[in-house]
Amino acid sequence: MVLYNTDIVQTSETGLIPTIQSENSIQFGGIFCPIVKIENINDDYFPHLICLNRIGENVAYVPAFNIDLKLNNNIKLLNDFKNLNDKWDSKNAKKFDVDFIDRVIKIVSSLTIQPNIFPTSRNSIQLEYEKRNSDYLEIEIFSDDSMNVLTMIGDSEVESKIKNATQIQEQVIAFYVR
Amino acid sequence: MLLKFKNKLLRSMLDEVINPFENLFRAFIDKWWNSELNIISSAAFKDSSGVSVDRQGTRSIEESATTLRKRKDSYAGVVYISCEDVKKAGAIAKYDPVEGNEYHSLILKLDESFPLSSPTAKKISRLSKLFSTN
Repeated sequence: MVLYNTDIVQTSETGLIPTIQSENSIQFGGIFCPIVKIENINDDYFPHLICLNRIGENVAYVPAFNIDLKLNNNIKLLNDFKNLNDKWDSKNAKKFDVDFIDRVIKIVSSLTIQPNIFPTSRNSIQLEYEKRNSDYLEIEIFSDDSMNVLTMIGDSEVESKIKNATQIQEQVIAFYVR
Repeated sequence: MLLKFKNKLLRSMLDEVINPFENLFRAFIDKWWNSELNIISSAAFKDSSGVSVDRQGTRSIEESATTLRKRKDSYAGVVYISCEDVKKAGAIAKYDPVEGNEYHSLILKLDESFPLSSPTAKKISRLSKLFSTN
């Protein structure tokens, strides 16, 4: 992998300036971000990503937000879900099994790009990613560990099932590096 | 017997069929609000026993939303969507008055079953408007 200089072609909305940490990682704002994929890009399509100057034909993509802070917030949120009692939705929702929440925490902790997280009344936890152009990725995790994926890109909507956290990471990376 | 009579009386006060331009109001808790994007999550429309809403009936939007919002302290806000937009999203609204709430209705799949599919729940969340007092 080739190292890149830090002249910014397009900055993220946070305006943070990255520094090269190693061949495989970039640091900005004091936060470590792994390089998730190397390929040529369309700058306009990724308002949340930073594009570094090219050396040769390769460009690095990194998520342009504070991963650790959001991860910490997500872990706190999921731990709060453990305290939800029956009828937490003011209707018929059941409280979440603590072991289930711990499994979701483990999954979320393994993701390099953090989702927004929401509980549902049908005993599932939903991870959501949504771009400004309305492209949308949703992973709904049920207490029996089954996982449903919904992708809405333009007019296209695709539903699928996946089996493990690794596949979630793959879906997220594929969603952002289009 | 008395309950059946009461429900029959409730039904006679509003049309059985919800008007396409009538709005449906859904109260949400704070955990369903996406504060990053300022939108309601589709999680708010995923209920294994049908999505409970209040139909507007002959009331104003403000009266409908305010009445619903006050019903429980745990409600963070109210969103609303027209019956027509519910249909565009691939669902239907069915009038279902209950004791204590003559406006109670349900959002269901087109075949009147539940729960809603994930794409339908997301479309409904996108078409919903936040009721704001500002």
